[in-house]
Amino acid sequence: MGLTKPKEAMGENSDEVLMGRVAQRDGVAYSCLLTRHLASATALAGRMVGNRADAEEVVQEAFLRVWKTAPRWRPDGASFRTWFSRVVVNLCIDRHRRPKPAPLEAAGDPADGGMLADQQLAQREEAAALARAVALLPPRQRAALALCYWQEMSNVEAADVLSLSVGAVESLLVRARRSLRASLEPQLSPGAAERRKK
Amino acid sequence: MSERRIRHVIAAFGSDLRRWPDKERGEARNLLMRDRAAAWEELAAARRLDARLDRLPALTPTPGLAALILARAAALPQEAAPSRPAAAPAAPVPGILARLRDMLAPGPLWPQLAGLTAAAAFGFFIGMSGIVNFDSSSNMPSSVASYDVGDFSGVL
Repeated sequence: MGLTKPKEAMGENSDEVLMGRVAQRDGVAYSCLLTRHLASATALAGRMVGNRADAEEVVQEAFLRVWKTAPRWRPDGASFRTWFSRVVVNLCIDRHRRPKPAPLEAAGDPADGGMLADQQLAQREEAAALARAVALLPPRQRAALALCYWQEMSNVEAADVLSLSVGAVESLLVRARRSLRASLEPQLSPGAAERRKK
Repeated sequence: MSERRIRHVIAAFGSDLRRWPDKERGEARNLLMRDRAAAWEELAAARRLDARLDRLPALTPTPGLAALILARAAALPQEAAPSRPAAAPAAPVPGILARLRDMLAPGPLWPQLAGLTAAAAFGFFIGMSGIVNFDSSSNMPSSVASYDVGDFSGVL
């Protein structure tokens, strides 16, 4: 197998076409799929498991599964993106029924390099509090929120990923957002931002 | 769309209409433009939560992650493709060329020789028996040009 960098021309193919080539042990097609979906898969796994080490292990496992099972893979009505998201979500759920986030790590780096140190710290603490609240959600609620909100999937697509009805996904979302609001209520209430500044 | 439904949609998908279900987005927008108070509180609360969710940064892959995955995959065998039930092999139908090749292919000569011998013996018998008269005075045409091409349509 020659695993080389993806060729420009390969990037124009759909995921499903690339997957067909991966089934023929085409390393370039595999590399192209990897390039296309790595960031999204890492972000999804990060929202699900709450820390980098576990998220990247899940992502590795998911991509290795793509390679390994490619000859057996059939679209069966679902797109590669849907199928692959399902693999990532299921690996996350299997891995950690209750994630142990590293809050400051999960909060990531501050977006603005010119921000004052205390503002940076406040922003990181705020993100860490949200990461903790998200981590406390039941796995399926967390998955529904991650897929529909951060991954910007439609309710139908998220339902496909989670193998649930659209109504069930909506219920998960309502409960997830209600829980987050309850956890973050003191910070979410009107005027909280002004109170924090004082 | 009822007010109850729009509250449920906001509670599930947040304040940004782009995240709402495609089928209901237009109707929901019209309802909110007509009567913004219908779901005002829900919208405001959802907007505050969305602002927090938007600020949670996404995890980005470490620089070496892609290379690590490629290296691991390169050492990993793939699963075999599912075996399809083998269809019974159909009897090969020889094409024209194959038939011609068979006809011209060298083989035992005795059938051809037997046929030739039988034809010669039959000809000799006919000639000697006088069944056919080869008298030159008969009305046989003398040249090909004098042949009258008959209608063979009833024969052929």
